[in-house]
Parts: sequence; C-alpha cells; structure tokens
Amino acid sequence: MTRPSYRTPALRAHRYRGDLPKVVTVHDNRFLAPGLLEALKGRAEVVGDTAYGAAALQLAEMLSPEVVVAGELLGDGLIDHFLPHLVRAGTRVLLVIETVQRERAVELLAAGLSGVCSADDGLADLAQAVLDAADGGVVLPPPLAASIVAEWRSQRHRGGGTGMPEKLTMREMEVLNAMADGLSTKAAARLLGVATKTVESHKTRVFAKLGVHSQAQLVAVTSGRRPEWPGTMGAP
Amino acid sequence: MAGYDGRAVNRDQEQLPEVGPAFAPQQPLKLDDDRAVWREVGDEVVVLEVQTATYLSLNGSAGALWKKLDGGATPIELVAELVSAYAVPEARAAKDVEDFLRALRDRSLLLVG
Repeated sequence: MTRPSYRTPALRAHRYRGDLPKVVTVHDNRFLAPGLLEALKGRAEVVGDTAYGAAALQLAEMLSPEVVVAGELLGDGLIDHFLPHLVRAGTRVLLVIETVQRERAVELLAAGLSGVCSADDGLADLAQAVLDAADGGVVLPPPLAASIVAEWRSQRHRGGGTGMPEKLTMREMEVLNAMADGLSTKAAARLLGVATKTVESHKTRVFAKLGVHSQAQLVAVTSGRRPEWPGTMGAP
Repeated sequence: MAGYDGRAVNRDQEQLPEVGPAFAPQQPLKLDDDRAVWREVGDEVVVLEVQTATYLSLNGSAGALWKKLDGGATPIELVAELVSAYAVPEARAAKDVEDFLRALRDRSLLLVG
C-alpha cells in the first residue's frame, strides 16, 4: 500500500461575519468560489468549497449555509442525488448550469431547488442571485420563468393537474362552489336544500378527488378557476 | 474558509511558530470539546470554533493529528502517527507536531495535562 505524500500539518483559519449569509460552493469550476468570494464581499460569506456532493452535504450540515451554489455534475454524481439531502439540511440550492432546459429545471425545482443560473452569467449576476436565494426567493432566468408560467397558465385553463371539473358530479360541483364562496356546511345545506350530512359526505368526496385536506386549500386550488356548470350557483 | 483537496480559496494562512519544545513527550493532551465542533470533509478536517465564529480547515497530516488528539494522545504518540502514516523522518515529525500543538494551544483548542 502506498502512503499518502507528506505535507507539513497546516490549518487555514477563516473568521466570518456572523451577520452575513453564508454560502458553500460545490462545482467543478474551481474559480467559482474565489470569484463569488470577491463578488459577494461585504454582502455574504463564501465559507466552503468542494467539488463533491457528499462533502458539500457535510459542509452544509456543519456550517448551516443559507445557500449552496451547485453545479449539475459533481465529482461523485449528479446534483439530483444530493439535492434532497441538502434541502433537508435546511439550505437553499442554486444551480449553475451550462444549458438551461425547462423540463430539467422544473424537475429539480420540484425536488426543492431554489433557482437556476446560467454559467454564462457574470459573477455580479450570480452574486445577486445568491443574495436573492438567501432571502428566500426563487431565482430563474427570465426566459425560463416565462416558459414555466406559460405552461402553468395553460394547465390552469385546461383544468389540468387535479382533473377538475369533469370528474366531479353536478352535486359535488354545487358543494364545491358553495365552499369556494366560503359558506359553512350548514349554510351550504340550506342553500342547496339538502341535509348537513349530505353536504359533509359530498365535501369529503370533493376533497379526495381534488387531493386537498382543508377548505382553505380547496379555495386556493379553485381560486380563479370556478368551473362553469349548468345549474350551479353564479359567482357572488 | 473550508477548502477541499487543497483548494486555496481563503487568504488567511495560519503562520506556525518556529520555536523550541513546549510539550513534554509523554504529556497527555486532548482537544477542548467545548470550543470546537469538527467533521471530516473529503480528506480534510473542518473545525468550527464556536465562540470566535471561525472555520479552520486542516490538511491531511494536520487532520490525522487532530483525530488522534480527539481521543487524547501524547506528543510522542502523535509523532509516531506521522512517522507511520507518512514515513516522514522522526526529527521532522517531532518538529511539525510541536508546531501544530502550539498553533492549537494558541487558539485555546488544546487541554494539557
């Protein structure tokens, strides 16, 4: 077995400002960390740098950075594998990527990613993105944001996602509209001329079909997409 | 800052003092657990000094000494650790251990005796 080459025992010390957001970089570009360090000076601290996802996770658990700036392909695998662990460790993850593809970005955003930056962006832009992510924002290049919003709008207009309204019966739709109007179960029963228990059971089925667990969630899901259905109540 | 595989990102290089022996060979030493938490990150050891808001990153040989000190060790055991792990001449290992221990003591990370 060969021994590791010997270097004099040394320690590097870095005193950080406790009042600034902390940033860890995990990227195969070794110029990223020093570049960000300068670009963020006085606004955030780059406290750790590695090329490996497992090491980034250890740094995140130990140093509790607000943001981890990550590449897509790390020394020990794709960011996908480490992303959920980093998110669970309580850090926000910003991906710096050569080519930004919508499907890929959406997949990672769904897994908890806080933003995407193009590798072609300047350091000043990247620094601003880091600060925005540290503030809890989601950072997306404008064309990607536009594309995601366009897709979302089109899904809403199609009534996609939850599959409504075609899967609800007419009575369930009436109950749904009453709840979306903020009516209590009793009030809805009075309005529809049915027993309170009947409304309760419709309500349970509507919740199940729409995958929600509360009236508040239901209102959020249906907000702005009141279905047109013959014989139901009109909007208030 | 905490680096990895030798990346020098930070600007504050610790200067290790060049002075004579300050620790008896058989003196029991250990780390002050109340002042620092640490973790192995890749082939480095990263230490967080809680009270002073300072990160330390230790290279491979310093990390080996740190891990040995974590369970308690004498200077002579630390020298043996370097000699066996890196095949470094004993005289050089003794001097390097001495310097490293001084650096830890100056940071109040070492409990002596």
